[in-house]
Amino acid sequence: MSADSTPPQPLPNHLRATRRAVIAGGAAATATLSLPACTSGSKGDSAKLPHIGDDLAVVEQIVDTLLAIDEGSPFVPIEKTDTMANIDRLFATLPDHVRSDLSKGLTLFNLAAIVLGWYFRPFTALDRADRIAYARRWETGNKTQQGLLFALKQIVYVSYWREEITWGPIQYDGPVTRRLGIARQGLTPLPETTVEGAAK
Amino acid sequence: MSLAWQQTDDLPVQTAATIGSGPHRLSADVVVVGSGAGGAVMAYELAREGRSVIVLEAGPFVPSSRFTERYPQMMERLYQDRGGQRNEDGDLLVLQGSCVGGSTVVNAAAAFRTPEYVLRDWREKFGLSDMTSEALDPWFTQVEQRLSVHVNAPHEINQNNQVIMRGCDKLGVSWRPLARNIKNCALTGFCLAGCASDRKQSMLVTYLPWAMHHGAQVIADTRVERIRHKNGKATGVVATTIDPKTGRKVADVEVEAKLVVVAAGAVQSPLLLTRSGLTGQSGQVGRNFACHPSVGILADFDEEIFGWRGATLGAYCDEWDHPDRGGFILEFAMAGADFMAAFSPGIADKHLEFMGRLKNVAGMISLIHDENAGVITTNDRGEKAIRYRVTQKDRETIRTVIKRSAEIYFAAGANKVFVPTYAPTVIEDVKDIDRIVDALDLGPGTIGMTSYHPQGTCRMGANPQNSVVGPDGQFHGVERLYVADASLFPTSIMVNPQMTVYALSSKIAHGINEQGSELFGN
Repeated sequence: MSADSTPPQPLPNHLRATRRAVIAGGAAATATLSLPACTSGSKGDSAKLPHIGDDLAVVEQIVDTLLAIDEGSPFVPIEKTDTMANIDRLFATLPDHVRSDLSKGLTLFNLAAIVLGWYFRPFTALDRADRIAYARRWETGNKTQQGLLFALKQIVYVSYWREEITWGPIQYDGPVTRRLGIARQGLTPLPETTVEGAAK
Repeated sequence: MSLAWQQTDDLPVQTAATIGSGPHRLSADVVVVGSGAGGAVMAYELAREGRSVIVLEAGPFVPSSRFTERYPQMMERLYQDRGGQRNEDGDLLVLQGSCVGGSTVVNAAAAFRTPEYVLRDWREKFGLSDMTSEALDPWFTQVEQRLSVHVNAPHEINQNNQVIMRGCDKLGVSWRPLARNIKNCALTGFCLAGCASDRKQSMLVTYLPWAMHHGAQVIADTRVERIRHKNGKATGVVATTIDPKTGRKVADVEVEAKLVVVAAGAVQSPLLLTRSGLTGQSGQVGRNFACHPSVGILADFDEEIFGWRGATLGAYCDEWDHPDRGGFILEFAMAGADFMAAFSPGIADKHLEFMGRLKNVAGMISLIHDENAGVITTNDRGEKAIRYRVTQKDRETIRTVIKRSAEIYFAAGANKVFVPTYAPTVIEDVKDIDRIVDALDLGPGTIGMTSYHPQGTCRMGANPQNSVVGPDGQFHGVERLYVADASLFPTSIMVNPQMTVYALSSKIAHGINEQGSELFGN
């Protein structure tokens, strides 16, 4: 394509529908990077997770699957973090149409397990090993599957690792300026010179 | 000369919290839309010549005392769309600052002059005859001096960079220390989250306070809805001040001005012009979007690197920096765990293994000289739409980028290289690079890309039939309306764009000041 050739056009309607859930996931995923700080909320408490709402069961299992932190692991257990509350707050920031499309994507992900892999059960009814195997099929599946799983990974991973309590096991330092007492330099003084040829 | 204020907290910026309910009818010689690289320079250069200047910024005013060095928080506060701005396909994250100071607050401070081969294209294809390295030298020199631009000293090149430079050296591949606009860098590594100690010489600590010293007013939280124009002349703007906490309108703001300068960035500027019915003679407003689509390639090493420690950007690989040699550069950079987690390859045990070894991971990103293939427009819901897909030619450049990056990593001793495809791609042996990378699809929706440099949507040129603004920065066909941001670039420039924006804005401001009484009547 040359610099002046026709730009990409909108997707045809029949393709838009299949892409919307992926795009919604993408929008949600990047918004995850920008969640406000939270101080409460824990796994499975639907009253405190109103924005996840009817998607709670599938979101809980996705979090458990993608992180897969075992007892005795050096990593901090999910229930000791505000991961679910972070996801809930993320969902609260999404425009209605994006939230709706994401919910459809989550439903598709859950129910497709019945036939994909011949589990004959939804994703939420699988044991963890099967859930991980199923998620890996999406990770390497068609573009829609890959896109949705990529988005779900971003949602889960940023919601978990933004918690300071998770940083110890990976030796991440976190914020340093105030901890090290680094002085603010403040505003830069007015420039004293202009370069010849660059000003009257 | 000293300023009346010491810290960013002291700056008398109007915000939704202070402006009052209005409506506010203001007047000035000049209204500048946007407070980033282009707008801030314009505001200072005009204000110091005695012009009354009002700067309207859609984003919030966030003093550096509120920079927390937590990426998620700062992306919400400082970035466009809370850090979630994407193209329609969803595979390109377009990062732009949206705050007082714009992207200069959240960039990594890389300071490049415009490459000569780019300027040659601008001269030959767009009639910009005065765009030579020599002619632009005073503008670059001036801003470099003012912003403490210097080539990184050895202590500013962290272990992440050292490891990759070792790989370059083993292959005989050229690298250079980067120049940055930083004074006394504290080496905290949080450039992308805002410099909490004001070492980065962003517009927030330089040109904007300087402009305010000369009387410029800066009003944050205020989105310009449209540009007023009559009989082929811009006459002012209509804006809305919105409370960033509630999203509710606080006030209507109208500014009557003798001159309107649009500097809202390459995504917002064309949308504003289009909303205002200013689509130009050429039909090019919003077209020709380019963005340096960047892929982040990571690699695992035996040695501990702690890549988030030290200056964010230290050095870069310039071996392929000319279109005849590939048309891309590689910049060596890592960020904190709360940022990098989003780019983790694999799930479950693979994810935990990656995060557990993050201190052993090195990172680099690519910038490519991409084609101007995108459009900024609105979708059927009336929302902003970034319609951009990497062209076939650029896709092959990205393929080459992945191969060269992997070769450098393995030469440096990497155990494995992670490619940011949606389906995890891990290269574990240098002999497998070509086979694995040649097999990658790399089409839409297959690889995660990030743009830090949107540009090109109001291209500058001598011919009104194929450009939006003239060589003087004035909108073709509308007097007293200027554009001064990266949307001016006729083609993509491959390198980090802030210095080019500063130089062009300085040059355009100089031209305006030269007209003096003719424009302002005093």
